[in-house]
Amino acid sequence: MKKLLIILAALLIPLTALPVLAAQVRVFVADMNAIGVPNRDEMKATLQMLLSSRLTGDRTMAVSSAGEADVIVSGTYVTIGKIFSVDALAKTTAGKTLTRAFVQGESQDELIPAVSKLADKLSADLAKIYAAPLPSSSTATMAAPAMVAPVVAAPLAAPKSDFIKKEPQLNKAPAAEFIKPRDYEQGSAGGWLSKRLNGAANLIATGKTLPDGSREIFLAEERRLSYYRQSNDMKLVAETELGNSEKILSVDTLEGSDGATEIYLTILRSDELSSQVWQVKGDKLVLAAQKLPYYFRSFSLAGGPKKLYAQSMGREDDFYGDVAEAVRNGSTIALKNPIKMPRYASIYSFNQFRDSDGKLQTIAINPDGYLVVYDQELKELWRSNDKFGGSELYFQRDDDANVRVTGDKSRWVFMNQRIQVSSKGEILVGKNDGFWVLGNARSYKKGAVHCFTWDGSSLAEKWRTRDTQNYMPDYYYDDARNELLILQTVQRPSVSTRGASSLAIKKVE
Amino acid sequence: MKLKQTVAIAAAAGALAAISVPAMAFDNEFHGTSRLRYFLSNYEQGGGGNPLGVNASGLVGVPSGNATENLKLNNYFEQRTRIFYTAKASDDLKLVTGFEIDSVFGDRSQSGTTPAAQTVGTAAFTGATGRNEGGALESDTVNLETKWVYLDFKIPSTTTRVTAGIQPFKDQLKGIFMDFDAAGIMTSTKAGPATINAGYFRGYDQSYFGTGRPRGMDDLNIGVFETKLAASKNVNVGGVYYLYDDARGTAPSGGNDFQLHVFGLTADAKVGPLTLSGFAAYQGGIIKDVALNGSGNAYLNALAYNVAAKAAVGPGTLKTALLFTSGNAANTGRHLTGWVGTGQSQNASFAGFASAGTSTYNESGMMLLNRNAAAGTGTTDNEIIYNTGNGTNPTNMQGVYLASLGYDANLSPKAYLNANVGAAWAAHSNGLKPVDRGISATARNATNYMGTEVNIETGYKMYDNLTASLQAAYVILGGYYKGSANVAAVKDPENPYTVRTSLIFNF
Repeated sequence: MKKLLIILAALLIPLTALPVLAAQVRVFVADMNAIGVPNRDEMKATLQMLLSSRLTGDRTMAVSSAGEADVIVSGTYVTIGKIFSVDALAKTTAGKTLTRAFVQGESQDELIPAVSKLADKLSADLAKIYAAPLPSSSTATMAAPAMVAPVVAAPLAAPKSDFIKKEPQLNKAPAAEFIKPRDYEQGSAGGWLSKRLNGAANLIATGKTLPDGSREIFLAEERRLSYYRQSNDMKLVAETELGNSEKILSVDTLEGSDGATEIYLTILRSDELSSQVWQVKGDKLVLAAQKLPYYFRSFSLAGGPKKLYAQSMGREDDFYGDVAEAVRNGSTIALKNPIKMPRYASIYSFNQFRDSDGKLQTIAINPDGYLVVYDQELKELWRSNDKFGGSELYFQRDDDANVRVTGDKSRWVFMNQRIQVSSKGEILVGKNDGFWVLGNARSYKKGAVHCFTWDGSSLAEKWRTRDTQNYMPDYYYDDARNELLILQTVQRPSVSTRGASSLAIKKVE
Repeated sequence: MKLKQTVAIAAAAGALAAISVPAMAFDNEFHGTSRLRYFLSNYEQGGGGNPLGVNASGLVGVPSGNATENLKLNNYFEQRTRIFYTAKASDDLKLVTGFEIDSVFGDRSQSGTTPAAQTVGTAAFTGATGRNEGGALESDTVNLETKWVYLDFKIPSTTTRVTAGIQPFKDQLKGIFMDFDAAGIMTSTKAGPATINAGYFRGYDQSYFGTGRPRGMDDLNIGVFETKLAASKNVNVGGVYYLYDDARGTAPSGGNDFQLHVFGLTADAKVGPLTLSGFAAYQGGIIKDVALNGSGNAYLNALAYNVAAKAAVGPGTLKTALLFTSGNAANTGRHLTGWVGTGQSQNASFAGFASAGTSTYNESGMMLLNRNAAAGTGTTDNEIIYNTGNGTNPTNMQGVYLASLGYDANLSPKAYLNANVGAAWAAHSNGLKPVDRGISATARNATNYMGTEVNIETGYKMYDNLTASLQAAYVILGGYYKGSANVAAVKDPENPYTVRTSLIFNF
């Protein structure tokens, strides 16, 4: 009997691995109407074709005529202003309504992904209605939920949906490459989320982990540095406010020679750099150095140890010369080991990584937001098709040469999202999207962190976080704890308020 | 040939074609500025130029609508919007365009916008050219102006960037010679820490005004050669050469041929807490067949220099500057020594400089004393030293000493207050100096002190891109203008003032 059970189990296991083709619902996309678009007829045919292709999957199969179909789908594509909606209605051949679904978006760029989402919705609904057997576990890895990382262990419990992973080993993953609506339905829960923090912080940096397990976190608004300790909640320990003519452009930390955390604030004052160094002394922030004419950033170059780097400002160049390692001795900064910058790169928009041959490559975000990879001779190797980066933080410099043209006495220089390279060689970069990014008027509405690996010829996306529901001014990947700290602006500052932020911490697998 | 080979060759050809076409992903970039200003002023009427210019008798006229030196208050709204669109094919190739829409509330609209048809009470307006108009009832005017259209590209495998087309240009002498929009070709080449700019602009082609001559024979040609060396992060030095060659032969009385060469040295350095900048420039040239003390050629040798300093002090920036341009004395010969700032002169000789300036000096922070593009409104500015040479044509430039001191304070992260004081003296006195009728009808004033301006600007950033501001300036006229008002009694011209309320949206 025992042997029989084993044999039966052995026979069943491979069966579960087979796609359940026999259970597919045959769907015919009958007619797609298009309203409010140019080339209406062409669009109708295109939509019909797109939806048919995407309805062919594990659960449903698009057929070429109504006669072959179990279900007939019709739909409408309508644009009103900048918004479009694709609505679909599925009926039986007898005319009985089975289900309805819709997806909306904001630009033509989102149309094809929207049709895919719509197909996914329809497939899922029809599969339920026709009680089709669910795919087996191995098949399921190809479907959308499988693109989500597994839950990460304590101390943070990140839900699967927080990271959308790509599985390069899979050849067939058309449907799963899209973020499915259910990801959004799961809400933003997961990991650790702070309460609303007073003040719209632009920048984040982390310090040490203290003996009680709490972590030092530093948030910077335009003119305020706040020192928090994060454990179960964010406890404000100390803060300091700068003068009206000063603006914080970056905040970074480094462990000082005495073991205390040093905070490097890059500050612009009256068109010149006037940076400061603060130290954590117990529950206080103490000024250690000031009026330093450098941009500062501490980061792990090519995934190496975290070091402090500095770059100068020129009389006309916003970022002058090479980036160099910086060592502070009191109020003196010594520079060594200069790093040549490729075109457009600055201390805030570059990093390096090693390829599989051990060659050092440089990566930067160019002013248009494209990721560009350069070889050792700083010649361009590759650039992304998608845009990344994006920050609302800027500084201004006198621009007398163009004031007659622009009507603005100042030139706006926007900061950018940091590029981090992990100790494993993974490349992390932030990305903000917005509905109002026009010239110097920027108002982003959502952000995400993307993780890439270099496959020898291009950057392959490994995973990305779900979009935040707010502008993401900054993020920080804590390599030691394998955690991603995502800063969000939940309320922008206004005439009467400092605005508000929140901090999400997610475990990365 | 076997089918397999044919397919392989076709595939290879296709692949080659694919890699030979560079990826061209267009990026669209928009910028713009829009400002709405409400003016309260005794002299400003939106016309542009020097409001205190003298007539042939050496008297300072009163603005239209006035009969005494006690001037009536003008009030008007001016709206000026610029939209910039750049089509970026790549990092190294883009098309830059700029457009402008201007109007004054209540000016003209619909079909009645041709300036020639503006007679009061005339109903039969004709045409709708509409430039700088459309602010009257029912608007609807063709008032979109194209300011700039140029290609901006890098020559492959070089460090040379080219801008070709109608583009803005400002000299490195802080604009005191040329600050204009012009059609031309500029190149900018980087060589390590050095930048070399070279270019050519064609200001005017006189064949467009019925000369019957071939195109390009009688032009205003402008040549540019600039070098700049970033000697260190704290020091920039440079040298410039500009050629202004007006070979249009437009008006024999004003000179058939006018050629200027400008050489200059520039520097910009940060020394401790101080930021210093300045230049020294020489201007030399010839004006052929000029009507000056008879007729013949005149020769020009002029100088200009500037020094400026600023430093962070308290909650803001303290700044000071001095500009000197040399002037012509009451010239009895043919040797001119007055610095010439350029100006518009379409179908006219350089005498047209008085109408619309193309030279600026912004560092002063003045609003009424000199032409400052940063505080002004464009070609509708009214400033006393309208041309940086402080004259109306190359034969009567008086030159100027202009000293200024200012403080830009940040009252809060959102609010600012800037205050400036500046004083000006004519470097030389000549026929442009007003007479003091208290002495006689021909007695020029003894002093060259033209006046002192005090101004403030306070603003509030409602959003990062939207600022509401209030500007106010008052000029205490100096003895240079004593007793020179062109009114019945012997009076001084009224001191100029302006109050401007602005809403400025920059993006």
